[in-house]
Amino acid sequence: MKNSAAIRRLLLPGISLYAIFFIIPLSILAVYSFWTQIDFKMHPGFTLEHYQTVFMTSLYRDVFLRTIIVAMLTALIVVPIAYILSYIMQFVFPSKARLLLNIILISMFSGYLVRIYAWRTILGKEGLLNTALIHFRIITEPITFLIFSNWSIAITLVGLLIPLALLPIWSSMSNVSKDHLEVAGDLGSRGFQMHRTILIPMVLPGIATAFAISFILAAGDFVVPTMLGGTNGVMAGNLIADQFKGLAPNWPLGASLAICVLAILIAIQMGFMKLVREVTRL
Amino acid sequence: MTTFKSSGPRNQLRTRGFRRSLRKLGPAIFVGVVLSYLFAPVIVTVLFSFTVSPRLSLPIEGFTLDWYKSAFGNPLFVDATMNTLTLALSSAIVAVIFGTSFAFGITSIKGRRRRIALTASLLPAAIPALVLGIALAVFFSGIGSRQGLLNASIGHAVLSLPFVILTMNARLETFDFTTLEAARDLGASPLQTFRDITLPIIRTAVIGAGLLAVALSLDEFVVTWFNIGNEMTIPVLIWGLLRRGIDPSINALASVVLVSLIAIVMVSNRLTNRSER
Amino acid sequence: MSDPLEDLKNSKLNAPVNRRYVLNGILGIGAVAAFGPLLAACGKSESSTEAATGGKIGGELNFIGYSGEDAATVAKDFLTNNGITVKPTFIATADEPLTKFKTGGRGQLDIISDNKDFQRSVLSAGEELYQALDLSRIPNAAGLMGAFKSAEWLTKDGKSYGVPLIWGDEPCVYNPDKWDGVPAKYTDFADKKFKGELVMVDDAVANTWLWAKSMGISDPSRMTQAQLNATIKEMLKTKPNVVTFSASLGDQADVLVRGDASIAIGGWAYQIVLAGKKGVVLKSASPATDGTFYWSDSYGIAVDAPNIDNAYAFINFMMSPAANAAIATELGSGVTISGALDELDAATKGLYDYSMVANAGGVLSTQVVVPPANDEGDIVGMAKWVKAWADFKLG
Repeated sequence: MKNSAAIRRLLLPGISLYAIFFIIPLSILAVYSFWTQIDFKMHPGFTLEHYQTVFMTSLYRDVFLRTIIVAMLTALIVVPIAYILSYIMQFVFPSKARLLLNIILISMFSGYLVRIYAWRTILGKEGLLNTALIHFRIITEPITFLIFSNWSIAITLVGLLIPLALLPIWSSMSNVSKDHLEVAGDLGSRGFQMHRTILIPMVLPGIATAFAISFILAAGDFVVPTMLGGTNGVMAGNLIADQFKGLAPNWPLGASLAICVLAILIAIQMGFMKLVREVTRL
Repeated sequence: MTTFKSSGPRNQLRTRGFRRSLRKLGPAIFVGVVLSYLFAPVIVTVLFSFTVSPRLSLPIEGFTLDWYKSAFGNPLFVDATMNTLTLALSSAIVAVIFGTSFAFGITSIKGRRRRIALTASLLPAAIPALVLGIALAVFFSGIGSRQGLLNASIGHAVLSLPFVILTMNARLETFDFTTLEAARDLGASPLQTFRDITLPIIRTAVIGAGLLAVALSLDEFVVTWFNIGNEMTIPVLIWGLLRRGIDPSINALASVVLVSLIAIVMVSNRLTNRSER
Repeated sequence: MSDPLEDLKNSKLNAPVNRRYVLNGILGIGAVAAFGPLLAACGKSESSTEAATGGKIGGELNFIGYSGEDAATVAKDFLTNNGITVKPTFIATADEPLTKFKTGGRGQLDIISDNKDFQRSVLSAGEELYQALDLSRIPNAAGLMGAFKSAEWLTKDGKSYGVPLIWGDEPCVYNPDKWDGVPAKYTDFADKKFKGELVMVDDAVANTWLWAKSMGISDPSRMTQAQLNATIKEMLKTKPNVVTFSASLGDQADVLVRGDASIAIGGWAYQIVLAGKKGVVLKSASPATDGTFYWSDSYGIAVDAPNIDNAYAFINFMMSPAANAAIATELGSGVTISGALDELDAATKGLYDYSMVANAGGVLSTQVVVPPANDEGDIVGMAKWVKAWADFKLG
């Protein structure tokens, strides 16, 4: 009992940090979403016009939908890869596991912006990939759909997110010992079935986290669509960013958009967690 | 996918070894492919930091160190590096301490409230960094905190916190708290318990979470830009340079950062010791 | 009273002034050799600068604006000799100085370099950002060419709020291996032969303005909603041919250099310089029938600037003929100081027609490239243009 209370007090530092430097600033923004802004000046008041704009404008709805779909697909590609990777590293090559993990983490260290730009060099019309393919006579004309398109967004995002998704899965999986799995194997659970019934349920918290990280980062990103998305790559993050820039900024609209995106993301995450709990119970 | 077969009398030493290697071929190829995919942009970056032509595409005409000279010759670079490291370390330490304690705290809540608390802790990651950056900038100016490293550091900590909490929580879900109770029964103080029992067990996860926080901070530029005032960090510098046109000195800069971080990781590895997997 | 707001013209400014940076590098030696005489002359004028501008100088100088316009190479000796350290913040879009100012940057900004559209909008909106200048502290500004002296986009209530540094136009930049030139009208870009060859800048004003001009609208900065919609509809015909919307002019140059597109609409002559450094030959031209618009970047001082003496000294130095010529050469642009014209090499001098800016008024004043800040009766304001461009991008 005493322990429980003491442990609960551990929540305080984190909560305070959140309260002061996150909740309050965001509350300010939430308040802004009900104001209006004309000519750079904020006019306090109460209006729902921005939320109306968000829900009524079909273009905005389309962007939200596309963002969610792209983010979902990205997460659904990233998480299985991260899972398989973690499994192989920890159970097939256990002696090299730490080394491989470090190597993967190092791939993040050349920088986010720089890596995005590097994909241009790889995927461009006269880029490395095309040059190699033409050189080896696999194709005669350069492939153009891989650059400045949804493909380039997906390819880049997946490359950026695999290391990030790997960490929580790794963390969960490191609690599982090889003996567990061998015993399961002896009892008749092999291969794919072993994963489905034994390992995956054991590392579900890690998988859920990995999905959350991948989905949220993919949905909120606006740099990748800007740099590599071409003319059809607008995502929700771009919409919001545009409201805070330019000489006709509309902070209230931007705030409303942000809050709507936030609400959608929370709903999806809660839905996913619920699904995860259901599957675990099976 | 590799299957686990118990070693039985029917398996000869020789074939078992051979089959095991063969079984490892598929997984090895998978890992190789993924690593190539992850490192493709990194290799491109490093490769083109040495090429004579600043085109950043083929053909490669020759190699030179001139881009490195120009990167080092840029006085902004040194300044930016120091600031970047300062921010990364300070925000990661704050995030890990606050996040780990939060994750422990969460274990004391059960059921639905716990799920809600976890989802709530995700919030900073769920909004675009731009919005958080502006919200913080407005807030800081309201409370009179001048733009600079402190504001940016707090911003980074807030951004990293969700990821630290999630990572630590995933680890703690399967943490056996009975060992802690046993220690306490045996007379250990909370501090001793933490230091001698808890810490070694969660060490890998803590380091993982810390590295995650460092990586997030190193690359962060949107929240940084709005809160760092006249100071520079490497991402802010690179963003400014990229917007003007591409120049391999940016690649040189990134390569130097990469090599430094590899060195740091190697050192930290030696320090943490390979205890468990 | 309500002057049109300049907005994304500024984003044009965001552009790529990378040359200073590159000069720091490989071409550093060559560049210094070329600029040698200019820089030496700069050194000479600085002492008179000190005395003239008065005040105590030395210490920090905060700069926010386009990279390159912080004049790190051109002003290097001046800064060292006076013990001034410039702390630059490089912007990508023209509006960033205002955003920074309003989100806590006040009291931390000194020099702002931005383009005439931005400055015009800020001043006409009565937005607090620039402080009125004491021109007696910038004696070299007396050498400004006719169009730049008391430029109307920098003047309000008889006070001057900025000093023009460079100017230029916004042509199309293209790859001569693929094209002999550009079509006569912007609306011609809708032709299928341009598919996958075009790159535009993500600018809510510039492109719309150019297309409106192409459609024959007499003053593209003043349109009704119907005209705006018609313009966007026309632009949408070209959209399938566009490969991407660049975040900046430097980015746009990069796309051309890599070969992912071959014609940049709304580009900058400086992109040719940038591409040349990478061994890629580009040319510039404007549609014969439609032409294009002109821009000019100026220095201003922020309200509550902490290092105001340094700011005045720096601006005055950059207005000296030698420094002005040096920075124009570095950035492939036009000079604003009369005496600087003679210091230019033939290539840079030949970039622009200086008779356009010899006298007050001229195209820089009359050509308004931004819509009004707010709607004026039937004429739609900036917010509608921004929305129209957003719809164009999504459409």
